Amino acid sequence: MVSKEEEKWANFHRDYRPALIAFFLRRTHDYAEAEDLSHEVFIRIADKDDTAFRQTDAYIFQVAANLLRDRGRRSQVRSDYASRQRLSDELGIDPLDPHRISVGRESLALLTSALEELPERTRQIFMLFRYEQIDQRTIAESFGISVSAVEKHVHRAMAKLIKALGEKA
Amino acid sequence: MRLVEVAGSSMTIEEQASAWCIRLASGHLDPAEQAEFDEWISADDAHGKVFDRAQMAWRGLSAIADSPEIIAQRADALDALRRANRSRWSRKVQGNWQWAAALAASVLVAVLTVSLWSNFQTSAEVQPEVFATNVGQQQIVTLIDGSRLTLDAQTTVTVLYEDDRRVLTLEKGRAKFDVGKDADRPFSVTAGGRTTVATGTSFSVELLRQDMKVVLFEGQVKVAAAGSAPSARSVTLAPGEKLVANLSPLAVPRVEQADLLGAKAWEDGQLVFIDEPLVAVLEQVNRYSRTKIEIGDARVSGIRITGVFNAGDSRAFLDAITGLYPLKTQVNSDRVVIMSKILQD
Repeated sequence: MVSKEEEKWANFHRDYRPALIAFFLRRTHDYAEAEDLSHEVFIRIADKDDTAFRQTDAYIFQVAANLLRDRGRRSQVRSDYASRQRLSDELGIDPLDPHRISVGRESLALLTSALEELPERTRQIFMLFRYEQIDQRTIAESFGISVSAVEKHVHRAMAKLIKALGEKA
Repeated sequence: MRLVEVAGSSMTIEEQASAWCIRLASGHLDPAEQAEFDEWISADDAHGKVFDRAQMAWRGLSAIADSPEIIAQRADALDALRRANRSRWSRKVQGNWQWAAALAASVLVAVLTVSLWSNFQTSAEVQPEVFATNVGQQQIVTLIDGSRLTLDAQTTVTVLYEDDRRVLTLEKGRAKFDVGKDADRPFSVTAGGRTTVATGTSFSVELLRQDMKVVLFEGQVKVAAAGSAPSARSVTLAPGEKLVANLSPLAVPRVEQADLLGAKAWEDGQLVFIDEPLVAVLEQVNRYSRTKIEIGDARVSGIRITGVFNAGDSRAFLDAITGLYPLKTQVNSDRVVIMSKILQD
């Protein structure tokens, strides 16, 4: 039996990996390093007690920002770091303001209503994949469609959610 | 084959971002994928911006996973999956009764079971699993055999699956059980000293301070004193019936017609009461709110409530009952006390 703890960790990775990789990749421009730093974030959070799991996005990205700052000091490439910082500013993201990275209440409401507007079958397939973690092959076999059709449903659902968040901005 | 080209080159930027986000969520990229991702994200300013929204949407979805709207949609999706599988098996078996088809079907069942419930793969050491929700939370849990638990707020259920039986205990709160069919392993839920036994059916069990309740939606269940022999006196419920038993072991349970829509409404975030005593009503309302409503004097507890309320909106609930009855409220830091106006005057 997989313990609740392990399951929680697996979910945590699944939820935050894309965000952390993107966060680091934008600032280091090196995928392997972004991977290492993301891994380091998971380790640092695992070292905290259980309550860290319930921490907000802001906390997780604070850990990420701190790591990035330490790394900047260690490698002593100040000018390089500064130029990256400028680049980040141009992209409109302050690397040391993790609050900007949190998914706000308003965005969550947008996601909820965008899900409601999806065609029924697309929504069902997306729900099974995202929340019940049922793999695409199983979904395809159950509904008698191809795996690539399942993928299309999933990406179409995500595209609607992405657009819903975009319209706000 | 390149990731964003696999599904055809006609993918929109949003769909491409979705493909990358999901690929990243599922684990490390191999070197070729890494290079491809680097290339994709730097190819166009819009890619990075859209990818950022993709990962926000992805993360945001887990923040709303337990909200009533999403719970209802997840339940709907799981139902659709079960219906699809059911019609698939019957299609296969009826349409082609040769042994090969039957074998293929049973292999598919095995594959499906393993991949769906891989969380429970190693059941060598059998330990009960505990599922619990907090104030205002609901949770759907799908078990190894396809049975589904829907936990209402402030509910704890322990689950112990053995080779010959499925033993569940409702420690507190309320849960609905959609039981996967398995004639060889009876499914039992014990709450407040009484055990409800089913083979394949849908029912809910609720534990209140003074009573336990069983509502049967489909199939058949038997309710008997917990730990009693199979031959012991039991009550058999028919669909649409409700059993209400006082928690004292000697009490004789009563069976009445249930309001099925009302009994299921909590799954959709609604509370429906038909002529229920205020004490029982408050127990349900308080499951969804940190501010607990309490009864201040004995005259109030006799009031019976009929109405539909949104779970979690205790303010509206208080407004409604103080508008309808001669009641007044006294607000303390974490609780609201309801008192009779008449008594005070």
